Amino acid sequence: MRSAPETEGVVAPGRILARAHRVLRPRTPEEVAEVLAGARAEGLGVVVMGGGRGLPPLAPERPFLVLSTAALSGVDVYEPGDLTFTAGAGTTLGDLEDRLGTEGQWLPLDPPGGRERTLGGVVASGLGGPLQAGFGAIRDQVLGVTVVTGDGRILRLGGRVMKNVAGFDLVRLFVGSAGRLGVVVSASLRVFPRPRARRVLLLEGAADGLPREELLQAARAVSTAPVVPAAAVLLRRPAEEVLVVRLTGSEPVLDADQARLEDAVGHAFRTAVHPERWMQRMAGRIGDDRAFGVRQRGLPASLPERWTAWVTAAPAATLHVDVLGGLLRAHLPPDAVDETMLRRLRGMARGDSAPVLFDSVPEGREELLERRRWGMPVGGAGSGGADGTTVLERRLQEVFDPHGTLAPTEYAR
Amino acid sequence: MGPDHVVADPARLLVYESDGLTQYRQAPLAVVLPGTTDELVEVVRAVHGEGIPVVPRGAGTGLSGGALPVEGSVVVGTARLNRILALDPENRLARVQPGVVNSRLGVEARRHGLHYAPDPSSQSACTLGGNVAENSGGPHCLKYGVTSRYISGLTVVLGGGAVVELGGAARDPATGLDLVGLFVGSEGCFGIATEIEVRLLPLPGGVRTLLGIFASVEDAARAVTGIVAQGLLPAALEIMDGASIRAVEASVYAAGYPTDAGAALVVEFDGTDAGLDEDVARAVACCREAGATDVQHTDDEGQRTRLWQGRKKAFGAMGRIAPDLLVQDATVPRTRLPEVLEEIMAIGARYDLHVANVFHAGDGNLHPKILFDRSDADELARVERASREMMQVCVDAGGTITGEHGVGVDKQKYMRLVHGEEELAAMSAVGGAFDPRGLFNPGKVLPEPEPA
Amino acid sequence: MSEVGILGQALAEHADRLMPCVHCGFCLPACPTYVRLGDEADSPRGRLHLMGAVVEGRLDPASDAFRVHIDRCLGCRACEPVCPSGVEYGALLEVARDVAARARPPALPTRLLLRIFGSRPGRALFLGVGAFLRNTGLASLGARALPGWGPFRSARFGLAMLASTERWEGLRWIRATEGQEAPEDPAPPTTGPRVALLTGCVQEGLYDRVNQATARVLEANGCQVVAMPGGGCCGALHAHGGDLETARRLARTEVRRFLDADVDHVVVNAAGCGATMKEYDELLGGDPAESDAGALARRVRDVNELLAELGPRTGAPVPCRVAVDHPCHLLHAQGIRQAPLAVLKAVPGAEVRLVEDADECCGGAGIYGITHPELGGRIGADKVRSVRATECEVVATANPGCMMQIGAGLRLQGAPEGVMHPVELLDVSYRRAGFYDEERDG
Repeated sequence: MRSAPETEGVVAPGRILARAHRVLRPRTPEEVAEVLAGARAEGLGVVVMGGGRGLPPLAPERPFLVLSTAALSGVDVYEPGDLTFTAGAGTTLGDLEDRLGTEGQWLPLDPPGGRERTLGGVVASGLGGPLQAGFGAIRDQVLGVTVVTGDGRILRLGGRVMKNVAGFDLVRLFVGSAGRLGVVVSASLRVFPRPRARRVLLLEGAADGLPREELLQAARAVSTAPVVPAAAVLLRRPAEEVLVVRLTGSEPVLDADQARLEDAVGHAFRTAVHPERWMQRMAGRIGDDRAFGVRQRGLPASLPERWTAWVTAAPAATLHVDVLGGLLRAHLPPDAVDETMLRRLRGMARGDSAPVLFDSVPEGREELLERRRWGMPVGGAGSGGADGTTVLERRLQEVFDPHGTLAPTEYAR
Repeated sequence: MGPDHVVADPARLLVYESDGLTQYRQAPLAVVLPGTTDELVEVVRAVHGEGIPVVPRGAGTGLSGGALPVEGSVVVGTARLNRILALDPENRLARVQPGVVNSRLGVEARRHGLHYAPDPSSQSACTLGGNVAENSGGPHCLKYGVTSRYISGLTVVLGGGAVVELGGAARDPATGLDLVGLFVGSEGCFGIATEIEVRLLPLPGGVRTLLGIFASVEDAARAVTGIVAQGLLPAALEIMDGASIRAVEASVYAAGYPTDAGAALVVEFDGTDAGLDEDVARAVACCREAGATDVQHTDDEGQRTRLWQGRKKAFGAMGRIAPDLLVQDATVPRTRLPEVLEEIMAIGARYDLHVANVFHAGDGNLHPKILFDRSDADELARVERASREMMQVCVDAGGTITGEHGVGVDKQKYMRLVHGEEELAAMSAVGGAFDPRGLFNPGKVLPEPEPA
Repeated sequence: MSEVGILGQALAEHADRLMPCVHCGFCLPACPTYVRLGDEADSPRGRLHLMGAVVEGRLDPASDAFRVHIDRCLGCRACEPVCPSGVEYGALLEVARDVAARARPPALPTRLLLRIFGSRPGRALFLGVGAFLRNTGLASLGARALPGWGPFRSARFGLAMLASTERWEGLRWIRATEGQEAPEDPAPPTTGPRVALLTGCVQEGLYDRVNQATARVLEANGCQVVAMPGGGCCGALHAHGGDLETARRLARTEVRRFLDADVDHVVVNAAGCGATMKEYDELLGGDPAESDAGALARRVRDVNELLAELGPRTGAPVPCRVAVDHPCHLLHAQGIRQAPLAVLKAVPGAEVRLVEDADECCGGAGIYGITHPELGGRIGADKVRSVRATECEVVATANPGCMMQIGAGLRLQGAPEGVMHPVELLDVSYRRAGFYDEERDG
C-alpha cells in the first residue's frame, strides 16, 4: 500500500497492538477505504482505534489489523456564529476544547478518559459522561458524519445544520455503532456557549459525613429536583462516598440553583475548592489496564437499591454512578475478581436488571472473560442487543459491512 | 373492530385524500382505525398478508405529504390509540400510545412539574406517533433539540406484523445500534410505533419572552447574530417578516404586533429565574444595537401565550390571504441567514410570487410561505420553479432541503440536491432492513432511482 | 343542471368561506366527535373537506357519507376559536345541513321536531304535553322505568330531559350560617337600559322560572324590562337543524317584533338562541330584512353578558359549591367566557369551580341525545363525570339544552346534583337579600 500509514505514536492497550498484524494510519477517507479493501483481500479483520481508550477489553480471536484514526485529525470547519464545527475523527477532545475555548464556546462532552479521547472514538462509542444530563447525549450533538463503510463506500451523512430531516437518519446509526458498520472519519457537532460560571458542589457520606441511606436519598432528591444540574454523580472509593453536583450558568443562577437543590436535598452542600479535579473524577476513567472496569445501566430511581447491592457484593470496588442518567461504573482491583466475584456480578444482572458489561480487564486476566466462564456479553459493541433487534442489527451490518471486514471483537458478530 | 372503524366507502375516504399538504390528493383503498395495539398489529399482519401497502397516519397535520395515501394502500390511523400508558415522574419518563396529541402529554406532565420539550407549531393537534415518524422540531429546538433527543424507547410493528422492542431508558445505549434514533424520522417507511417511551424535563423555573420590532428582516437577523455572539442561549429565536405579521394580525390570533413593521423577533429565555433578567437585558441591548424600533418583554403567562400564538398559528392565518399556500422548509447555517433570505425574496420577486417568511432564526430553519392560486396553471408552474431555486440556494449555503417537515412526497424531487447516489442507496438499503417487502409508506422519502 | 349540481351550487355560493381552510388540522382535537370516534370524517376539517367535495361536484349531497357526517356534528363550534384561518364553520354547517336535508330528508325525530317548532300552536302543544308529563311526574317515572337499551334508550333519555327541567329544590336547605350576613347594599340602581326579554320556546314552555328569574334580576339591577307579548321562536333550532327557510321566516318575525319594541337591548338567556340572533344579519343575508336584522343583532345580549357589563349587585349569601360549565353557544359562538363567572361572583358564599372540560360540549346540541343516543350518551357521560368530579351541589350553565342534557345525565345516574341557570342562583341570592317586592313575587 503506497500510502504506507505509520505506526509510531499510537497509544493503545498493549494486548491489542501486540496481536495486531499491523497498525495503519490512513490520512484520508480514500486511504481508509484502501486499508479496508486490503484487509479484506488478506482475510484480516479491522479494529478501528482512536485514542485507544475506548477499545473493547478483548482482542478479536481472528487475525486483524488496527486502523488508527490518528492521522485523520484537525478541525476542518469551525463557524462560531453557527455554533458548529467539523473535525477529523482523530482530533482529541483536548484539542477541540482548546480551540473552541478561544471563541468562548465548548463541547459539553465528558466521556470517561477525558481530554485524551478522540472525537471519532467518542462518536463511535456513543458513550458520554454525566454532562449528558444537562446538555444531551453525544448522539444529540452530532449533526453529520463522514464514514467509510466496511465495504469501502465513502458516505457523507447529515450536515452542519441543527435541524435536518432530509431522509433517514443514518447519522444516528453510526453514532454508537462502535466500528461495526464503518469507520467514522470526520464528524460535525454542535457546540454551546461556554457557561459564564461553574460550581462543583459536594455532599460527603461515609466516615465523617452523612449515613449512606441519607446520602442515597440526597442523590435521588437531586435527580427529581426542579432544577437539572449540568451533571451529578455519586462516587465511592473504599472509605469515601461523595455526591458531586456540577452547576453551570451565571453567578446568580448558580446561587439560585444551589439553593433550590439544597432545598430539595435537605442538606447544605460544600463548594469544591478544586472544581477541575472533581470534574475529572466525574468523567470517570476507562481503558485502564490495571483494574477490571465494568458498567451497568439502570433507571435513576433504582440507584439506592443498586448502590447498596454493589457495595455489598464488591466492597473493594470504586463506584461511579451518573445520578441523573443511571449508568453505574465500577472498578475492581485485579485481586478482587475471582470466580466467586464473577458469580456475584452475574447475580447483579438477574431479573429486570441490565447486563453487567466489562469495559476493561487487567493484563493477563483475559481468560476470566471467556464467554463460557463469564456467561454474559463483554462490553463494547453488539453485546447487549435485545432479542427482537438481533435480526435488524444483522441486516444492517450486512448493508454496510457485507463481507464482515470490521471486527471490533469476536463477540460483536 | 366495528364498521365505524373500517372505512371503505369511497365518499368517506375523500377526507383522507390529503394531509396538511393539500397539493396532492390520493384516496386510499380503505382506512382502518384500530383501538388497541393488538388490533393495530393484527391489521398490519392482515393487510401485508395480502401484499397491500400500509400508510400510517396520525392527525394528518404533516406538511410534506408523509401521510398522503399511496394508491391502492390501506391507511392505518392512530387517532384512537390515544392513551398515556404510564407517567413516571421518578425517572422522568412517560410511555404513550402513538395517537396521543403532543400538547396533551404536556398537560399531563405539567401535573408533575414536568414537560415534554419538543413543541412543533401544530402541537395542539399533532400526535406523538407523527412526531416520531417525522422527527419533529419546533421553535424551542435551539436549546432543547428535536424529537429524537426525547425518545428513549419504542415498540414498533414491522413488515408483516412482527413486533420489536427498540431501546428503552433502562438499556445501555452503547450495547447495540441506535435503532431508536434510526427509526425516529423514518417517516412511516420502517413500520409503526405502537408504544413510545419519552423523556420529560422539569418545567423551567422562569420564562421571559422578548419581542423586538424591526424595520427589516436584515436588522432582526443582525440582532440574532449579536445575541449568539454574546454567548446567550435562548430557548427560542423566531423571526416573522412583515407579510407574516400582517396575516397573523388579521386573524383571530392577533398578538398586537405593529402591522407596518418589517420584522418581528421573538426571543425566549427560560431556566433559573435568577439569571433571566440579565439575559433579557443583554438581548434587549442587542436588539437596540441592531436598530430595533421597539422592544418589549414580559414574564406574564398570558402575554407570552399570545405572543407565541401569533407565531405558531402563522401558517393557518395565511389561509386568509390566498386560496393556496405552500409552506417551504429548509435549514441553512445560521450565519448565512441574511443573504439566503435576500435571495429567497429575490426569487419570489423574479417569479412574481407573494412570499412571506417565518423562521426559527436560532437554528437557521426557514419557512418561506408561498401564496398562490392552484387554479392558475401558470402561477402553479412558477411556484414549482421558485421552490426548486429556493432549495438550491439553501443547499449551496451549506444547508439542507428540510429541517423539520420531512421529505414525504413533496421533497423527493430535491433529495439529489443534498445526497449523492451512494447515500441514497444506503438509505434505501437501511429501509429494506426494516421493511424488506417495501410495504410501509412505499414511494415516499427516497426519490425514484436515476435512469441508468 | 342535475339535482346534485343545484344543491352543490347552494354550497358553492359559500366557497369563499371554505377557501380559508388550509387543512392544518388544528381543529381535530377540539372536536368532541373526532376525539371519540377518531375518524377524520367526523372532524371539522373532514366535514369541510366533504363540503368542498360537494362544491367540486365530486360528492353527492344525498350520499350517506355527507349526510351522516354533517348530521353527526354537534354544532358546538369548538373548532372556531382554535382555527387560525378563522373559518366560519358554524355558518357553513348550517348551509351544509340545509343542502343535505334538501337532498335527502333528515331522520324522523329531527324532521318532526323542526315541523312542530316551526309553528306556534305546534310548539305550544308539544311543550304543553312536555310540561304535563313533567308536572305529573310521568316523565320521571318513565325515565326510571324504561330500560336503557335499544329502541327505549332514546325515549328514556327524552323523558329524563323533560323530568330534569323541574325546579331543583336543593338550595332550599342551604342556609347562610352565622357570620354570613348579606353585605350592606347600596341603593339599587335606577337608570338602567330598557330591555326586552326573548322568552323563547323551550324556555317559555319548560323553563319559565328561568325567564321569571331573568326579569327579576334585571330589574333589580336597574333595567327597565319591557313586557313582550307572545313569545316567538328565534329560529335557532331550525338554523342548526338544516331548515334555513323556516329559520329565516321565524327570524323575520322576531326582527320586526323586537325592533318595534324599541329597546336598548334584547336580552337572551338561552345561549343557542343568543348565538343565532347575534348572527341574524348573516342568516338573512340578501333578504330585504337584512339591514334590520343587523340592527337587531347588534342589540342582542346574553343575560350574563349584560349583567357583567352592568356590574351586578351583590345579593345575600348562598353558601354552596357551584360547578360552572360553558355552553358552547356562549363560549365558542359568542366568545363569552367570563360573564357567567362575574354573575356568580355576585352571590356571596357561592364557591365556583370550573368543570374540568368546561370548554367541551356536553353533547346536548338540541336533541342530539335522542338522535344519536350512543355517541351523545358517551359525550354526556363524560361531562357528567367531570361535573361530579367537582364535588359541587349545583351545576350552573346558561343554556336550556345544556341544562337538560346534564340534568338528564345526572338524573339517570341517580345523582343528587341540581342544575340551574347562573341567573337563577343570583335570583335566589337577591330574594334572600330582600331585593324583591315580596307582594309581587309572591
